[in-house]
Amino acid sequence: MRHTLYLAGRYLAAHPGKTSILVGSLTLLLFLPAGLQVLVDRSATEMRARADTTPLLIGARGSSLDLALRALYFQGEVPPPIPHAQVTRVRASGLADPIPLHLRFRVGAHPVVGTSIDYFRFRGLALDGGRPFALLGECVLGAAAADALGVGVGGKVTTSPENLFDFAGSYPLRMPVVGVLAPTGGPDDAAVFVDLRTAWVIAGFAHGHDDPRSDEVLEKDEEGVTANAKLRLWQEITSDNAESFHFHGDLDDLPVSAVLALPHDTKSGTLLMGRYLGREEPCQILQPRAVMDELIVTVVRVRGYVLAVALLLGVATLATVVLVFLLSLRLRRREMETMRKIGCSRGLVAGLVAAEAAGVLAAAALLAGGLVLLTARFADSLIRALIV
Amino acid sequence: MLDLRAVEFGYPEGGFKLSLPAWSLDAGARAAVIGPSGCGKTTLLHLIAGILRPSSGAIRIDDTELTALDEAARRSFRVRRLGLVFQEFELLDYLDVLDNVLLPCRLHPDLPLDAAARERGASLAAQVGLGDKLHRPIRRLSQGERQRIALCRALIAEPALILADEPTGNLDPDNKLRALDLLEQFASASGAALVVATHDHALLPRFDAVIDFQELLG
Repeated sequence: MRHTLYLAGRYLAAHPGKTSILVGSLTLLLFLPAGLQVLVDRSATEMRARADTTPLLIGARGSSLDLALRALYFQGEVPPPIPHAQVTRVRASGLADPIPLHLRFRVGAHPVVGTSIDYFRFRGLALDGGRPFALLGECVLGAAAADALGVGVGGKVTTSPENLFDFAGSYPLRMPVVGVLAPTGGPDDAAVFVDLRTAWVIAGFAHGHDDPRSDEVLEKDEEGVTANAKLRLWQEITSDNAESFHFHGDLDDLPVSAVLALPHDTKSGTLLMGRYLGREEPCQILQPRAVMDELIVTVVRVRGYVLAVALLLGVATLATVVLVFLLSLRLRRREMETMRKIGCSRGLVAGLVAAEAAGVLAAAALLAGGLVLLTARFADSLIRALIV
Repeated sequence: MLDLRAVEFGYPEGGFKLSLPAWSLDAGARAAVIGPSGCGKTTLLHLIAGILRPSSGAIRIDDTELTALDEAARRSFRVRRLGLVFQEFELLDYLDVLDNVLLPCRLHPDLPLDAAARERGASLAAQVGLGDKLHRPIRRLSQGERQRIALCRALIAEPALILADEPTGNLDPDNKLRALDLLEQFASASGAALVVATHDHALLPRFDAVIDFQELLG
């Protein structure tokens, strides 16, 4: 057996091209279904875990999936805004505690989450350093965001413009980092958290400026002052100018992307859900777990299709591998004949071929196993990149 | 040492038939079997080696009645007592020099690959001038060097009988003579009998006995 394995090993090592192609083909053949299974399992677990801790979610009518993905994972399409009055409405109902979410902006690749300090408590987020945001314009970074941006407490980050020539919309805001969160392994790690009012500042609903000089005033009446373009808009809120920042209009009219509703008990949750059933109701309320379950059903269905295709490809690959082996045996007929003439039994020759096949299969299984482990190791990142 | 009596052989598909009333060879003797291509020289060597089995008759090597053994026993006998040299050398190109020499030890458990075998393999390679190329791949050797490796492989079991099938057929004149020198030298040193199938009449003076294959059959 030792000699058979040795000869088989020498043959495989001496033909690296052929061996690599065979091993590569079989590795893919083995890895595809196993890797897919790991991804689907982990994505289902990941999605359910986050959704399970989020009882109710309120947002604009439309895609419940988009709303859930954005509110839970800060990924995907930004849902249409709803007025802050919906936050007030939940609080006023006495059935649940609302946590607003403003999810429109980014700092580079990192989502800016405009919310209240209650969000940290709700998600169980702990500070690794610094303090929570307290003043307008301050931000707290998730652990991964701090790493990726290379910024810690005392540093500053600047929001990204929504498009290249953002003339009329939001001005990038430079924000001091006052805290960094401990890593959680979830989507919060990649986020930049700000107070909801700071998000509104980025959106241009609040601004600060010097008292306009007389040459900057175009019109002044009891409703406000209209200034010309000479007026300088602030891009950073400091202790010197914080007082000058102010909101125009009714705060309840300002937008939020979604509201997390934390019912006081099951009955309160049910009652709250009932209030959003009316046909004229502009908002939808959803249970993230139910939305994620639907998504998982879809993912599992897609996995079935992919596995069916993989099975067909697998049969074709296996047939090719067998063909390559058979052709190889034909080419090596004289070698086998020589072994037999020297004194080798037919069984040993067959064992030699089997050992070569087993060697290729073992290498492919090892590689596929390694790839499955790597997939499991990076499943969360892959899931966010590929699925979420 | 080698004794063939009333050996008859024919391939199942018909055509070629070999009939050998009697032929014997003394220990240490050197015999050349000559005849044109396709006349059955290789078949005769395969019968003597036990690779083929005659339909009737007896082949005896020393005290062993080869034709009375089953295939497994013939293989065991062949790997222990016979050395085979092939026309195309038939070395395994994925093995290095030493592994090719030691190949018979890896193919049959009756010829163990122990320290003595390894030492003998290295010694044989050194005797043919390849002691510094033990781990060189076969594809990087010249024709003459390959021929010498094939010879070393045939001698690894210290055989009592060396069967060489056209061992010089693919060699240039210089290497042809050198190869025969080596064969004879090793046969003499070990006391082994030597049977060489060839169609090269120029080599015949080097043998103790020259047997014309067509006369033998006649």
